[in-house]
Amino acid sequence: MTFELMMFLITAVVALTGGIGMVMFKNTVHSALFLLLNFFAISVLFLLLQSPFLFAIQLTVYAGAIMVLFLFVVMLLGAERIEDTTDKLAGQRWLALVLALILLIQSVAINLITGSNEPPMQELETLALLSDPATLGAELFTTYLLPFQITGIILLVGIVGVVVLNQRVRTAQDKGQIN
Amino acid sequence: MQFALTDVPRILPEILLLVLALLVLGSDVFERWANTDAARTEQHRASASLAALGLGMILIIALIQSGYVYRLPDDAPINFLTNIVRNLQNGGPASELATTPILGAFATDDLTMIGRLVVIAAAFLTVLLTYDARPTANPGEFYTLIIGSTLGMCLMAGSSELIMTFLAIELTSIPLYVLAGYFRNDRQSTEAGMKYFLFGAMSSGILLYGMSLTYGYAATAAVTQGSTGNNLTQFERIRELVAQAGEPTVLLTLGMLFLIAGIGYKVTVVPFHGWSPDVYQGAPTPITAFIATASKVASFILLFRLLTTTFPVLTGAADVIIPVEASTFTGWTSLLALLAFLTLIVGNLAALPQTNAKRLLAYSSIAHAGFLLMGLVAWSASLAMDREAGIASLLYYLVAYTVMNLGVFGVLYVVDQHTRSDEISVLNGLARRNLGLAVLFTIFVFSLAGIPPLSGFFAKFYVFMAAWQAGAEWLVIVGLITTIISLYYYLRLLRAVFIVPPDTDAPIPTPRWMATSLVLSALLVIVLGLFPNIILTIIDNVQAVAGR
Amino acid sequence: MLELIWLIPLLPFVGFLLNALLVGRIGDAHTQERSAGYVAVAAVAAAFVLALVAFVQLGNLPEEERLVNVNLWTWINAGDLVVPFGLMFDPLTGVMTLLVTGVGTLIHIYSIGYMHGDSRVVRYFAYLNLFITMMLFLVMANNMLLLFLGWEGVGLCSFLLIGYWFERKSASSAAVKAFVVNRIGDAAILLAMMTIFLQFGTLNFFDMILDGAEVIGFVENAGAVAQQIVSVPGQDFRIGTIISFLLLIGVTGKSAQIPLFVWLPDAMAGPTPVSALIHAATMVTAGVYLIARTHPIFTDTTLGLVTWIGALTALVAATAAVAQWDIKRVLAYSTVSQLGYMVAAAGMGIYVAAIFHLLTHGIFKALLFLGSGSVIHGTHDTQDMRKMGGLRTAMPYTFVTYLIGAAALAGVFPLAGFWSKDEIVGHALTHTIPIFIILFLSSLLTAFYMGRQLALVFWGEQRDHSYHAHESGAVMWVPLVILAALTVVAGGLNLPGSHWLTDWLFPVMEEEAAEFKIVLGVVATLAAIGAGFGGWYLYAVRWAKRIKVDAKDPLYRGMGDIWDTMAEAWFFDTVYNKTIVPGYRSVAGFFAQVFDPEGIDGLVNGVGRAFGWASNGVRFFQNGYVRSYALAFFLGVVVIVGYLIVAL
Repeated sequence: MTFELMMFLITAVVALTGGIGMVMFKNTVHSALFLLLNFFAISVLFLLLQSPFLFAIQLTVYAGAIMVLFLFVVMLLGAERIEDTTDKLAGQRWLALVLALILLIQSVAINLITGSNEPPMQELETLALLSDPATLGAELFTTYLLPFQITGIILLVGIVGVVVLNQRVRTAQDKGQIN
Repeated sequence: MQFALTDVPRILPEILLLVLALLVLGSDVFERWANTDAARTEQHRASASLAALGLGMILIIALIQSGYVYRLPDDAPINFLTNIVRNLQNGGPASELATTPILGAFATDDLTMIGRLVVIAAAFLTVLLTYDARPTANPGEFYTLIIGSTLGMCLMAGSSELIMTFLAIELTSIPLYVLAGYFRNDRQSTEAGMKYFLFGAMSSGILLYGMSLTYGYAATAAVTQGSTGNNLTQFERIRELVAQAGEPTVLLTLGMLFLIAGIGYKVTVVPFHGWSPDVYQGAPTPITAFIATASKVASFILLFRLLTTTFPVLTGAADVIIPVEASTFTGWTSLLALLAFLTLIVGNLAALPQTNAKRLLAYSSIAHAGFLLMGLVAWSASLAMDREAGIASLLYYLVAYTVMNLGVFGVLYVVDQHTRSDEISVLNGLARRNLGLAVLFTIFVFSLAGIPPLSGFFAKFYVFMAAWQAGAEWLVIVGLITTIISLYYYLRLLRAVFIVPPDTDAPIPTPRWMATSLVLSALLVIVLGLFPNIILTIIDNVQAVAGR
Repeated sequence: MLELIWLIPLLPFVGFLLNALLVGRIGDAHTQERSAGYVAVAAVAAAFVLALVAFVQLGNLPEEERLVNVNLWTWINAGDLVVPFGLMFDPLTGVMTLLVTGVGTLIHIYSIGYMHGDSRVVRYFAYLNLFITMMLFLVMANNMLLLFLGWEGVGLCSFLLIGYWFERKSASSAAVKAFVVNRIGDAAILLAMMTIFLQFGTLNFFDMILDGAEVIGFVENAGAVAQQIVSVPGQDFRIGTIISFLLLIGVTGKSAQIPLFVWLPDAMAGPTPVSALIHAATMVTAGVYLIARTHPIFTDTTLGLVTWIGALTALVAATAAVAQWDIKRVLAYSTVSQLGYMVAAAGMGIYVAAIFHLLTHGIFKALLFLGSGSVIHGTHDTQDMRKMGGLRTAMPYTFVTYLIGAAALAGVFPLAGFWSKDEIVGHALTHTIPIFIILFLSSLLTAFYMGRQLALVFWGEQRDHSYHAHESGAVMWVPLVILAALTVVAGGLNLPGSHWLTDWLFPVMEEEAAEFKIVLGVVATLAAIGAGFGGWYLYAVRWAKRIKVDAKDPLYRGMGDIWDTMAEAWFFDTVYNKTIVPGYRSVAGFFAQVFDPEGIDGLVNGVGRAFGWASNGVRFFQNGYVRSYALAFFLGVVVIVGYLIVAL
């Protein structure tokens, strides 16, 4: 067992624990912390894939900025505990579990059918070159210029949407205007 | 590959849409702060007219650029006017530039052009519909979101690369989430927005998973073949790699399945349709019309381009009922035939007992997705000619579908404005309360039901024909049977309009611009039915694209 | 002038537009009513005149040139599929056009009187004009697609006109029933069109020049292709058999044959002139026209089936007509029965006789319906014959014309019905004996029920005195007189000696004149008179006292269940309601409850008792929870992936 494989297994287990924990816990803060764990594990996966830049981005953007925002919102609103409503669709949970199991078995089956999925070894230099921040930047502004621009537009409409949805309703007359 | 100056006219409609969105957003600044109803109406109309004018102009510019109506001859005299037209048309689908997508990401061929025209026209008609409505809160933002979403749909129609595809879908969806939940005081609307958002987020996840599998396959193939390139997300490139790698693997098929599922939610294919009845019912009616038409058109075009340019290897027969032999499953044509079957059955049967008109039409719209899929199934035909018939029928169906659905939702909207309800019962006796509106409604509903000579009939006929030629006879028969069933619920609408007496005889007014929008749609429904050649000649251009 | 035939359908269409858009906006209700009637009549009458001119001009052409194609524009040009928006005029179309516009004009005139005072009369005339337009498209189309436009269009107008009196509860459900049942046939026609296109590469009937290029027609080239054999898994069929079988299903829908005839009797809920025009003279004969038009494609296999369907329909409907009390339902079943004769004739390959009977029946059945309308009008909307009686003195014109019509229907010499029916029955004798027996029996029944009807309506004493019977106005009885006169002379179209119709239709049908069997003619007339007299005698003399309002028929005593079976038209409707409808409802209910909670209320209230557990609300997937939808989505993905693995 190589070092990489060992690292991968450990990280994978951590990432899965984070994901499952996030869904299972009722306390919102706990969930958020488990999500953080998941983000960390994923960033390590990037590192294992020879992408230090993505590793850094994942840490700063997700684990840093977004998580902090989540925690702020949760704590400001005092929404640590989600409402404990009785589950009307308990049966579905089991069905979902069964389906997940089936999907897992299917994935394994597909792997068996397809045979070895091991990617051919790549020169370390090439990989490093591909994940180099400079290369990524150049790509973004040349090949992926159009998608990059569109990201900006998406942000714009996103902001407009947020503004609209969060404006206080002025009068009762507004109710159902276009409707 | 670099972005060149000559690429600017090629994406001119998109650039103009962005400019228009910003203009509409900014124009609010110049309006008085609206405190009275009159001022609010004025503010609403200012934004609406700006949006409508802008969309109308962009539609005209796109039409000129397309060269479908008028193509500047090569030996035309050189003057100011012809220079403009020539420059525009150089970015159009007929110029040789259009053979390669911009940066490999955005194709500007005929398919895109048709998609653009339909989508922008749908947005234009939607905006016209809302002009006379009771004023919206934040009209500037409302129309900005509509235009932003339109921009996203145009990009979807032309997208030829995975990342672009994802971003275009998001750009289309995010404004629609907000628009569906635009009335926060209305529980149904808020719920619709929320559901749409949650379901959309999940589908995006599925879509991305499919993309990563596809990309993973392409990258592996590329590395194996010793080529390093940064264009592994382009549809064309993936197709080449798949072709060079020989036998497509299960992994690639799996990626394709997830891609279909991810886009399938946007085109409301069973079993990915769950959100649509709730969202259609809850969203403001013009937005429902917009979601049901423009967004579906863009998604179908995207699905078509994705499947035919990326996975032409993964096609085969259209018979999927019983996988007797190992080789029965033959790629996406079989899968889509299966999905079309499910969609036809579920959509048409679940529509039967509905009591809410919007919900009924939501199921009808699901059912139409089934008919549309038959056009794609025709790709399994062995002859190129029959495949082309499939594409042409699909595109014709999309156009017809758009106008008739805009119309039928538009009529509901007019009634809704007056009665504040969209149950079927409010349509009772519409013929006595507003005969003109009832006649328009009848035209749209009969077109939906596929009665000649309206465009809906020829659309169905052509799709059936294409599927039949492609060997999907069983699907055509299912289609015919469900068409008969569908008649029953369409007639329920008409029975309410013409036969059931109303509670009150008070006339329902049709404001001017709503009427204009409806009459335009009705004219298109009739004219496209009587003279389908008008657009069939245009659609024929697409076949060159599709064959590649 | 023949290239101007497109004016024929255009004129009624203009009438429709005027009535739909303009007339409703001018003047008071009275002016509107008058102008709507005048516009409608003028439009159809003008079309009739044009049709007559075209007919005469066609006759002036040499026989082999009597086929005019006028392509207005290329309707569809999509790859192989090239279909013109084109009309044609040939001998067959010519006679059909004359029937439609001629009888149409008379019925329009009659409607002015009949619909007087109705509040929505403008709309009525608009629908009627639209119907004429569509019917003309149907008979004048030079390709299947345009024919189908007319085919659907007449169905649409029929739907609108059956449901015209929406205040009557039966009207709206009858309208929907008619449309839905017809749509089953229409689906088969669509399939037939696809098969035709696949096999022939065209939907045009005849070879023609289109946009400067020669295009072929499938009727003209049917001979060789229709006999080719294709293999449907498990069985070999001739192409012609498949196509003609599909067409036959369409015919059974539109022309009300077994098993799809159930809509026609219910369709009598519409105004009586509509029953006369659409449900007797024109629309329901479209199926017979379709068979005649495409006859080269019919193979012997299908023709046998056609014959049997026609003959059995003739018998079943005739027995049903005997056991009705409603004056219009008698005529409705009689129409179904007579359509059976035409279909049987077409099946036996005597298309000229079928068309001959179509024409004469169009005239005398229109007469009978209009007569019954006059009776209904004069007795203040009474339709139950038990409430009538003794009307021959109060309504002399109606009585005399009705008598002529009834005699014609019964097949009494020398009226129109005798000649046309005799051709069919006479041919059956040389064709198949069982068919002959069935048809002969049906014609005896026909005479019997007409005698019964005459006796009940016009003889005896008035049994219900809640109304004062009076004769209708001239605007109503003049059309009756004209139609009665036509009934007397229409047999002259194809008299045994002259065979004018056979000769005229020769370019289309290529059929020799039938031999007239004098013995059969005499026997048939005597039998008809005998049976008719029997019916009259029993109900007007023998049992006159036993007929009371709401009483059972005297024959019921002797026949009991058999009588009920006849009255219910051998329970076709009941069987459908017991088998197909619940199945359909439970399937719909299942989908609605699995996929939609909102449907449940509608299901319980509207459809009711579909599935016991549907109302319990096992709302599983469509319950409004996003995660349920997500689960369905997920399930879909898992199933598809599983399918993929299994298939690989």
